[in-house]
Amino acid sequence: MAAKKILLVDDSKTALMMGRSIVEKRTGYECVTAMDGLEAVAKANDEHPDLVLMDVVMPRMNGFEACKKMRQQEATREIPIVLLTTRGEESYMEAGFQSGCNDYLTKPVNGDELVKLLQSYLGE
Amino acid sequence: MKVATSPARVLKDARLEAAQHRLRESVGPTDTLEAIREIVTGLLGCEEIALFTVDQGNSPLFWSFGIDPAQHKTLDTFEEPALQRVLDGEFHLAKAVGEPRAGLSNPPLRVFVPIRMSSRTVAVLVMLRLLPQKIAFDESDIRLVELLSNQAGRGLFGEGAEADFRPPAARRNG
Repeated sequence: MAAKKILLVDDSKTALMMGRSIVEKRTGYECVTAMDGLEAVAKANDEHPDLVLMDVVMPRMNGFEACKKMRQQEATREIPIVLLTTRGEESYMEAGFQSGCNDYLTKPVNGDELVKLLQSYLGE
Repeated sequence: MKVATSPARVLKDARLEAAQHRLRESVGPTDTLEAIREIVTGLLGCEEIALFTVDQGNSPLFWSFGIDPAQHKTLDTFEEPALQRVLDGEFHLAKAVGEPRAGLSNPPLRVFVPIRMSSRTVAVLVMLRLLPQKIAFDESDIRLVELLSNQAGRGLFGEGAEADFRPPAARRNG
């Protein structure tokens, strides 16, 4: 059986390296990456990930817009999307859910919490 | 014999390894400042950052992110009593001044990090206020701070750094 695939999206190279390292060392999932919302929408169409883990504040297209785009497209409509941001205010989280995300995590990421969340969607 | 590594350890190592790799791979001051921003905002949890050089008498602001640079033109605007210890090379964690945050019992923290080159402090990185959800600094945070202290200077002020440098504008977080 093919490994589950996660699309990591962040404009921070450090965050992508850390995310990939956590996912690959702690789970059997495979990672693909994108560095902004536009690239994420394209990769989601091409790669058919099982889950998208995406930062909100990014150049070219932010995470909310990318989330909305993915929800409008047949091929990506059902993919679980977890948004990541430093902003934990309720209004900001509400905006995330309105854009169509399934879950929301605040930065700095608690790795244990992240792994548990991924496993809750994808299984161990 | 294979030695098992605890899940928590793997996660902490992932942060440190990512930061170490990012700093090592950064090319010149502009990219190093971006690496510092990524590490401080994404891994340490602070979106108000200022970097001061300390070899010019009054320690002027060199770069900032998420603050009004006009309010912190020099390092001594912080009036931090432990500043001399920082200049001598010690990392310092202080209570931040300003309005307390609603719903939090702990005061916000402010972090002073000496940037060291050849056993000399060449700059001070100040994290002005940690994010509300970041209420404490643990051992792995301190290891990240030590990494910044010991490795960020090379890319900022090391050999060949000046030729590459394009002074970055002070940035506000978006």
